[in-house]
Amino acid sequence: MAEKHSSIHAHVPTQMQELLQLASKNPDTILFSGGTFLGSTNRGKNFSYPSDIIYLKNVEDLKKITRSERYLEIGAAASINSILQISKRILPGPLSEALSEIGTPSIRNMATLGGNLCTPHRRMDAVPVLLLMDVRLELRSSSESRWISLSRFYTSEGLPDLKDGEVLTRIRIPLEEWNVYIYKKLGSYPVNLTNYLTFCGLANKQRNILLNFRASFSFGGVDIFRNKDVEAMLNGRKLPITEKGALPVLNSLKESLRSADFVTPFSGARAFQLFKWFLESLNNE
Amino acid sequence: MIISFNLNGKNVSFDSNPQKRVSDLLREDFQLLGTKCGCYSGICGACTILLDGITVLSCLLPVFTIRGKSIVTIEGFSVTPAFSDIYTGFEKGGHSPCGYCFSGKVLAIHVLLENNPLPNDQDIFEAVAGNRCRCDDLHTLWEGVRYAAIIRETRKHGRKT
Repeated sequence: MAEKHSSIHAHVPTQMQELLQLASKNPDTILFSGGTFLGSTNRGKNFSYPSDIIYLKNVEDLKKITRSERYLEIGAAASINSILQISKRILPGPLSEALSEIGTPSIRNMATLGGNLCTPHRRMDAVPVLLLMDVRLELRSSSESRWISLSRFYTSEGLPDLKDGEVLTRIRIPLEEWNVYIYKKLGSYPVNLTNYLTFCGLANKQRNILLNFRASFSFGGVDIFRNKDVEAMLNGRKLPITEKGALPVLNSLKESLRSADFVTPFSGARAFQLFKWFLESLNNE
Repeated sequence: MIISFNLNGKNVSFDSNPQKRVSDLLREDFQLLGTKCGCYSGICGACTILLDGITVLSCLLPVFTIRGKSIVTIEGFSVTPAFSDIYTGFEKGGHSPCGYCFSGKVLAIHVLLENNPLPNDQDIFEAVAGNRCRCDDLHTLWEGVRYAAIIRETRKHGRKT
C-alpha cells in the first residue's frame, strides 16, 4: 500500500512479492528498515527523507530467523535485539558481542542487521565480524534471486552493490565453532568518528596448533582493514608463539597499517596493540 | 497521510505529514508532553516510548512506521500499577530523576523488570544506558530498581524476593 503526501511517497508493503514489485517499479526508492542511521543523521525538526521510501519492517518474511545444520539465516529486517535473543549456543559468540554493543537497548530494538550492512559509505559494527565468517547475502528482485559473499557486497565508492530493484533479504552465517575470539570496540559512534575503531579476531586452537586465524578492523565506521598475509603467517603455527616468533607477523601488520591511507597514526597504534594483545592471549588460553 | 494506531489504549487516527517525528506528533498533535525531545538524534533517550511493548526512540521514528502499532507514553503508563511499582521503588531508594529523563528511564526500567524480575546492577545499568542525564545517581538508581523489583514481585505473586 502506498500513501501519497505532497512531500513523500511512503510505501508500506506487508508481503515479500509486494515489496519486490515496489522495489522493481521504483528503483531509486530508499529502503527504510530500522531508520536509526537515517534518523540520527537527520537533525531537523522534520525528517527530510527522499521523496520515495519503502518501509521494510512490516514484511514478516524479512524478520524471520531460521537455522539449519550448517547455517543460521537471519532476515534483513530482524531487529538486533531479536537476533540477540537467539540461544547463545547457536548465535556465534563474536557476532553476539558485536551486536550487543550496538547503541543502546532502544536502538537495538529498532536497528536491523540488514540496515547495519547496507548503510551507504559506512561499515557498521557487524561488518568486520561477518566478513571474517564468510557470510553470504541473499539479494532478491521481482525477477531473480542471487547469493553473494559479503566481501563482494560493496562497490569501490562504498555503496552496497545492489542492482536496480534488488533488496537484501537474508544473511546466511555458517555455523562454525570458534573456540577463541575477541571483539573490541573503542570510541563512540557517532560522536567521535575519527578515533572509532572496532577489532574482531577469530581462531581455532586444536592441540596447541593455531588454525583458521582471522582478524579485521573497522576504522571510523567507514573503512575495513584485513590482511590475509598476516593471517596466513599465523595459521598452522604451534602455540605458544614466542616474542621472536611473533616479530615478523607484527612487523608485517605494522607496515600494512602504516601504508593504509585511511589509518591515522593514532588509530593504527591502537589497532596494532589490540592485535598484539589478542596474539598474547592465544598463548595464555 | 492518515495514520491509525493505538495510543495509550485508545484507537486513534490522524492525518499527518509522514515525515513528522513520532515524538513531535505526540507532543504537538496529542498534547502528550511527557515524551521529551532532547537531541533529535537518538542519543539522549528522553523521547523513549513503548511501541508494541518494547522501548523505542520516538525522535527517530517517522509517523508512517507506527500504522497499526500500539504506543504507550508515560501518560498512559503512569495510570498502571506497574508504574506505581517503579515510582514507589524510586521513592524508597531515594532516586529522584529529573523531568527530562524521568519518562524514558521509567519505561526502560519497566521493560527490564518485565523481562528480568531480579536484575543485578549490571542489568540495570545496561537497561538505562540509553537514558542519559546529568541528574543520574547510579547508587540510588540501583536501590530504587531493587525496591521496585521487590514491590512488583510482591504485587504480582504475593511474595517477597
